[in-house]
Amino acid sequence: MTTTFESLSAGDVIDGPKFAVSRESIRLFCDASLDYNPLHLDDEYMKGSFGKTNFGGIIMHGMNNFGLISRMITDWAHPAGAVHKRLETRWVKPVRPGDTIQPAGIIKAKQTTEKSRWVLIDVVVKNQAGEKVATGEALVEFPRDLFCQ
Amino acid sequence: MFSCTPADDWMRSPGTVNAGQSWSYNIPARPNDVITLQARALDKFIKRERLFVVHDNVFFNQKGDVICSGRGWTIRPM
Repeated sequence: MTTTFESLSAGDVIDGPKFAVSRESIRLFCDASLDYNPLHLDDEYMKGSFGKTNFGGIIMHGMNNFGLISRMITDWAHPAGAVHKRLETRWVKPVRPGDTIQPAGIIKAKQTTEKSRWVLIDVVVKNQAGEKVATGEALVEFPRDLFCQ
Repeated sequence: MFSCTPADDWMRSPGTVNAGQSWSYNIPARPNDVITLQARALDKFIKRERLFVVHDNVFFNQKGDVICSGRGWTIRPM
């Protein structure tokens, strides 16, 4: 069934794709983003501590979470003629090679303004243990007439 | 963002940890656009014995239109 603004209710769930994290996927993200921070590449570097934190090995880019959430939102919104307008996120737990992560969204609120229609979505990414690795909020616009924008 | 910053830019200091990002999308970037990034540090503070920096980032196209804008929170090497 096609999603429409009218059919949405608070509490509706959006399921995102599972993503298996590996050294190779992290390396590919380095190349795609040009972010070669040793946090994501260098096992020797990651033996050190960052203040009180020791990650114990390389970690995935936080923005990989962002990309996965964006994919989920876009895959859900685009068929409905809706547009992903905003995403705010916090990385709350490191993601490591071998983890499998999955984003999800929960419709929080709908609002209609003079110019358009908006949907607020709570987003979360969890790992295979069910632990939250990222949280945030997305805003999606459902234009009344996409072709009049 | 990293394609708009040189390898020795302060935003790319090794060991910087990305703590969170907030991005708003204004207009599409299209093939043949030339993208410019204006970025600055807005604030820095110590919290839980860590040095946080708040970044402001705005991407423009060749006409000066804002494509997207964002705010980032990073934890910097002390």
